[in-house]
Order: sequence, then C-alpha cells, then structure tokens
Amino acid sequence: MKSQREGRDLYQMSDEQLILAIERGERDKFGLLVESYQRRIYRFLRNMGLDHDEAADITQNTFILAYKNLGSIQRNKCFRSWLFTIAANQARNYFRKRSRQRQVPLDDLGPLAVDENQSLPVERGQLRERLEALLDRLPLKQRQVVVMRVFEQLPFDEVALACGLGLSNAKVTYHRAMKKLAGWLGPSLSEIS
Amino acid sequence: MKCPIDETLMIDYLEGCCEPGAAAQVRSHLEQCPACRREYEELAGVRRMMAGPAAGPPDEPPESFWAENARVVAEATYLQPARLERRWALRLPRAAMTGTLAAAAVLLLTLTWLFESGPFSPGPETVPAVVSLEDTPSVGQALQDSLWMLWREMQEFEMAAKALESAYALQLESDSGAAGGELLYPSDYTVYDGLQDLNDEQVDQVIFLAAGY
Repeated sequence: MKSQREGRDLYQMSDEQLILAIERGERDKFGLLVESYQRRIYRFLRNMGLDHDEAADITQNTFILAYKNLGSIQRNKCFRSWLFTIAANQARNYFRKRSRQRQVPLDDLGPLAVDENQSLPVERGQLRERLEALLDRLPLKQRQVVVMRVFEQLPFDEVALACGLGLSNAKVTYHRAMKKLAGWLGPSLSEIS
Repeated sequence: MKCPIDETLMIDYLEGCCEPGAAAQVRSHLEQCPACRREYEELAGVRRMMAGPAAGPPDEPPESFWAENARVVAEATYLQPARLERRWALRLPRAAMTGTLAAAAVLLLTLTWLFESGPFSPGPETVPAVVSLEDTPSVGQALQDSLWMLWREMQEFEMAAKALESAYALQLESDSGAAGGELLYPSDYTVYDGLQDLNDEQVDQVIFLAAGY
C-alpha cells in the first residue's frame, strides 16, 4: 500500500522537482523523465521523417545527452521544450549526414482515393503516406514547427523555444508551412477535410 | 488598403490562441474580406486534415520497445558509476566567470589570426562551404565576426554565462561523439553562427580555450 502511494507521488512530481532530485543525487529519478517523454520524442522523430531504427537511436541519444547536460539547463527553462530542442538538433544532424532527403515526387503518389460513401479517404495509411511526403518537402525548420505544434500539441511559446525562434517568428514559420501544404494539397484538400 | 490581419494574428485565430477581442476583430474582418476568408479556410482545411483521425500518428512500436529503450538509457546514464561532475563552470563566482571569459575572448581573438594566416589557416580545398553571414568572405572572418559579437555580448553577464554554458555543452557533445560538435543550447544564432561554421578541428581549438581547459 505504501509503495503504491510512493509510486503515485513520484509520478506527481514535476519535471523541475525531478531535476532537483537528480541534482541532489537521486540519479535514478531520471528514469521517470525517460518514461514520461520517450514516447513523445520517438513520435516526434517519426513525424520528422525518420524510420523506426533511426528514431529509436536518436531517442536514446536524446536522453543520454539530456542527462549529461542536465546541469546546464536554466532554472526557468522548460525541460520538455529543452528535450525537444535536443531531439530536433539530433535529427537535423542526422539529416545532414544522410544528405537529406528521400523526397517522393507528389505525382508518384497518385490521386488520393476517396470512398464514395464517406468524406474521408478509404485507407488511413494512404493519407498518412501522402502527408509524410508533403511534410518531407517542407524545409526542416518549418517541418519542426508544424510537427511540434500539430502532432505534439506544444504551445507556441514552447515550439519557439525548442526551435530557437522568437514567438512571432515561430508563428510566421508555421503560417508559411501551412500555406505551402495548402497549396500542394490544392483541390484534394476539400475532399480530405 | 492593407488587411489588418497579419500572419501571426491569423495563426493565433486559427489555433484558438486569440484574446476574445482580437478574435472578434478577426471574425468580423473575415466576413468582409474574401481574400483573407479564402486563406483562412485553406489553412483551417490543412489543420483539420492533419489533426483528424485519418492522418493519425505513426505506428507505435510494441510495448516491450519502451522498456528496452529505458533500460539502454539507464545503463548509459544513471546506472553508470558516479563520476566527477563537470559543472564547475556554472558555479564560478561572477567575477571569476567574467574574468575567465575576458581572458578566453582575448585568446580567441588570437585564434582568429591563427585561422586567418597562421598554421591553422585552412587551404582552399579544406574550407567547408561557409558561411551563413552573407558578406563574410572566409572562415577566419566568420570567426572574427563572432568573436567581436561575443566580446560585445560579454558586457552582459547573462550572455557571458550562456556562452560558457554553450561551450560546455558543445564540449560534452563533442566528447560523446554523438552530434559532431553541434551547438545544442542556447540557440542564439546571432552570436554563434560563425562558430557553427567551423570544422571539427577548429571547434576543438575554440572550445579548449573558451572553456579554459
């Protein structure tokens, strides 16, 4: 009973409290931060266009680097956005090394099939594939902003922090990315939405 | 006449982050302005499509993956024997920090000469495709620009602390070999653009001196 309560208390600790505890020497508390964020970081990296193995490697590296640099995080800095910064930088470095990108020409994807009886496309995978191809065509920074905002639902101030942009600049970047996506989707947008 | 809705306001409205007064203003404008209404509808269409269930998240790995991932991270981090933490940089008193940075900046300025015309001067075939600064003709010039900016910024203690922290983070990253000497944090590109364009050897030299190793 006691251990259950303690477990619940641990989960209720904020990131800042966990970091303080780690700095005091309770280093295994870092495991709770890993548990809290590993799924989101992995999903973010997949949405950035990495495959499973790449995303898994970079997720691990992200937490290892975060642990090593934990002493450099400022008191007023949000741990979550700092973690996304590390992941985004790691992804950027990876893309550079891989000489980004496996762009799929839009024409190769074929028309977007729509079920006559429904307003949504037949296959979820088909829309997902098309969306990934479109995101792949965005400049890296625009893709980061869109993925963090839309898929990770980070507030704009955290998106800005994680991407190294000012708040207004993050919104303008997001606006430009969405305009591009709208342009590429063109008439099929009304079918999809 | 120029529309009163700029990109940031449009995005605030699209994302539901507007103050109520501003939202009413945007709503009213959209009713009157076909161009803005068309743009809003396009953006909202993309937003709905991306947030909808059909575009859902990428496939999740099996549950065992997370436990394995956590185990690998644990073994590489907090399960390692404790070692001397190198957080000295953040604990230096302010005066010592400023003094160290001032000395480091002088040394770094000397490095400029070394990179420009000394033994580290990069030959034409070894110079990486530099430079983000439009009017910067060479790596040496980019470094010099950065150093002058750093020098100016050092007048502000916070910036000096950030510079040293950044150098520290860079050193750690470089140690780990994971990121090839990229600046992790902070992302103050105006100060560090030139430094980021250096090759690995040059980065090592800068970090060695800047961090006072």
